[in-house]
Amino acid sequence: MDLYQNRLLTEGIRIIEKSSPSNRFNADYSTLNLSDALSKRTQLAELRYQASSVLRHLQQLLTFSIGLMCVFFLIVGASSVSQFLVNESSTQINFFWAIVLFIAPNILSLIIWCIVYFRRHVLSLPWLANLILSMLTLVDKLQHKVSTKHIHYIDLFQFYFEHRFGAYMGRVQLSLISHLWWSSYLLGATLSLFLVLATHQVDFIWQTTILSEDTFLKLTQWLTYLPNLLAINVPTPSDVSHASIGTVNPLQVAQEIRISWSNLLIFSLIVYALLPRIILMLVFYQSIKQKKKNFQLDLSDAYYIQLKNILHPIGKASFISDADLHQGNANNHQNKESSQYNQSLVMPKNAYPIAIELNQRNLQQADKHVLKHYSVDLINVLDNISQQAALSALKSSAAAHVILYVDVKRVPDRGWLSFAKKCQYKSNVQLYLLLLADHPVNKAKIASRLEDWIEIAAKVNISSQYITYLGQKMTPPNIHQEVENG
Amino acid sequence: MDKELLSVAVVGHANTGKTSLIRTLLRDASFGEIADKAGTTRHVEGAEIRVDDNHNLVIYDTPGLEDSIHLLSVIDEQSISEHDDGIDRLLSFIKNENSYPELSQELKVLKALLSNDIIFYVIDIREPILGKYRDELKILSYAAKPIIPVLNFIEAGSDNMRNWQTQLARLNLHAHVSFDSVVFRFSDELKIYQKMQTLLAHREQQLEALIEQRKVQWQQREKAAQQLIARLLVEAAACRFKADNNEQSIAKISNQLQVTIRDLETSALNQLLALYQFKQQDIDQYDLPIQQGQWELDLFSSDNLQEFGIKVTSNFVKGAGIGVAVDLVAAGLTLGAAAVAGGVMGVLWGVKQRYYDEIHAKVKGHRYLCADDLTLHILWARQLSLLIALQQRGHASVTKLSLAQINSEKTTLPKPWNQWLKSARQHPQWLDSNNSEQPPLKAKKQLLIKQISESLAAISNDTSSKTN
Repeated sequence: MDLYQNRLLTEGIRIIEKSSPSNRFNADYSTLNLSDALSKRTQLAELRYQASSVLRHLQQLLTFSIGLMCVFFLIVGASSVSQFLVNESSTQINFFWAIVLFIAPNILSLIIWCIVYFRRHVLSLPWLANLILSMLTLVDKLQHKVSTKHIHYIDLFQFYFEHRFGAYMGRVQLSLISHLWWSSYLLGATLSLFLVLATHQVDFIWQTTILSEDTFLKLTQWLTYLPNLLAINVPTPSDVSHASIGTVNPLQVAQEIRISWSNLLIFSLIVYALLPRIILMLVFYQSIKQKKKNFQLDLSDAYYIQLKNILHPIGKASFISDADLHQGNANNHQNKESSQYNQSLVMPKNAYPIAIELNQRNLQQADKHVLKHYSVDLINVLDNISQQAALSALKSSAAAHVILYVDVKRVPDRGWLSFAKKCQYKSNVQLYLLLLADHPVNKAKIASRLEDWIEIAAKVNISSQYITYLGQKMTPPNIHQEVENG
Repeated sequence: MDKELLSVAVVGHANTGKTSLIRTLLRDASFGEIADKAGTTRHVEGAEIRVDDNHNLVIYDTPGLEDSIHLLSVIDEQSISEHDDGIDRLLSFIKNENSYPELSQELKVLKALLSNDIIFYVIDIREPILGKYRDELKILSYAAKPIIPVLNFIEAGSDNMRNWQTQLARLNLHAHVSFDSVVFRFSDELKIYQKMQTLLAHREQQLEALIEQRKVQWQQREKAAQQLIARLLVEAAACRFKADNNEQSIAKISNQLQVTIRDLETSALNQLLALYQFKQQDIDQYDLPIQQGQWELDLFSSDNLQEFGIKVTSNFVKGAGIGVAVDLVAAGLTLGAAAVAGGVMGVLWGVKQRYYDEIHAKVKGHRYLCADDLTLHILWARQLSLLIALQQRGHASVTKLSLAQINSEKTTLPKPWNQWLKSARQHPQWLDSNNSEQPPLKAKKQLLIKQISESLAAISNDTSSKTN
């Protein structure tokens, strides 16, 4: 399958898959460039969709239909000679009529084609395309081969028609068809005329009402210019004048004049009508080949962008390079502690308060609270130095209880846990956790964070009875000073 | 042949958005695990970004450096010789890893620091600058690798931005970038790669290729999305159904019309989501106003008017309902143009093909129903809002998205709006389900889609310039 066929098939599969490409055609595309990856995916998808047989059928259908019309026009061209030019009852050919019949319509049609081809918006030809579509449909129904077999036949038919007669190839395709059919018509006429002139003896005259003799002479001189250069025997001006009145010539002369006129007629048909059409036909045949060769998929289409994401995803599947071997330590989201805390916590005596990473506002709040219950300076642990200072002061105080003030909004982490463990400097030290916040606990985010704090506090044996919550805009819980330890 | 890899370690304190950053860069919402708590990432997890056929960028996510104060003190305690440097300190600590089981997570980070080409240090700038962050940066400096501080949550933490910039400058880290996991900007992503280019001069070409590739991908995706919206508008406007001229038939056919247009919108919606690589589970997670691949609010609900701020001067008509009259003036022009070109057969054929249905309906007392202007306006506004939302939505965002909050030009219709609708309504063959007898060639449809896409691109550029 050549590149064009492959791309056409890719497009056919796009039509079948409609808006989104299927990701079921798995293969290792990562080592291939996009073009090769697309080609490989097309081959895999074709095994499932079987679209190539339909496309091949459509190509054959188009070729067959065009060929059929060629035969039709060949017959029309051939029969027009006997119909309109020479028949059994007539022994004369009106040269002017012959020219009008074959060359003039051809030139007129060439002019129209030029206008349509070079000024694309002058005339829209959807009706012509539709005419061809009707013809194709008719021929297809007559052939009746694949139409009932493939479920996407109609879609593929429409796509293929759009492809051949649409914006990309349409003008060239229609031009080729036009020139091909005209060539067939003119070839039929030429061959038929040659056959008639070979088997019949006819005299040439010219008859016209609207043209003067001078005009006709000039016209004939133009037509004889090229054959004269090629040393072909064509009528002289006197022969032309005589032909207008049907002068009877001696037998030998008459025969020569007949040959010269028939030379001119056949030469004119071939050179001025058939040859330009054949040349144009070959040019457009080459153009079609070129168009097929240059046919590209529109990779900016949403379908292909999605397909690119499948074939060459931006990110490849993730992989673990250094696995966590301590899964037991991992966050156990299912076993969330309840967000219960002690709303009437009794503050212990012989306790040492420490603030951890509090901002100015929370620090003031904690300071006020400490002043109310204890007579020590509150250290705010922010770095290694303040951490060491707090631990040293704690040990010096020999306190049996440690009150940890934290901002409930902050995320509790292993750093906090590590420090809390260090605060348990002797075995019977009980830690308390006082959570500070600007908002009531019923806010969803605060409540969730509170759960995190209660969860991590449990790891240093701070149960919910030793945890309380101090909201600035709410009445603090009923915190009482304990009279004795315990 | 093995691909040449450029590797990045993404490190930072717990809960700063390291995994979110990687998800956004990968456009993959399934990468890693995200939760609003510390210790969510516990493995070192990597993923590759394809640069071209020969180059990949590998990004490693690491656990958070949660106990940097303790870690730094342990590293600084390592007994090393006078001539040894920071790398030797780290290697010495790694050698004694069994002595510090409580720092097992930090150990993974240190290994990642030493084994990758460059380090992204992610900072949640909503946080105050604490000693532990300075300690983290000091530890990173021991690895002697290029560091790009990534300032995350810049929308919510804008007040703290200056403080963090000053602090980073004091530590000689000037090449920082801003990023937001919630409100994604493509320009921020490009800046990350550009900073990498500055710091990794020997990888400049590879990174240039990466930047170009990302730009192309972004533009292609945006263009494709605009084409999808344009096609939806054209097809919805071209959609029509023939009804008898009585209320019962019109009601029945209106219903069919609504179903067809809903299907068109759903199809476009799913394509847009697929284009931006949002899977159904992502949609559920992000709480987009979409359920089971469909908009929650029905297209024909009058609530859309409020949702999208559309003002109605006339009474809101339910659903669809304008009959399209035969455009006899246009018919005459076609006839004239065709006549000039010659070919009576062609003329008659062309006029028959284009106007037969309408004339036949007129004669038989039928009427054609199509979507009204207001419905198409809502359709347009919804897709436009969704497109902007998808473009500004990182693959790590977990906050609720309300389309009404999206600042777009959705209420102002483009100038040629009426012309677009008129053109689409005159070409029922542009929608396959219409089963029109008219010629099937779609060059004009493509032209109109192109025009609408260009208009969408202009709106997108305006929105981007306002956002930036």
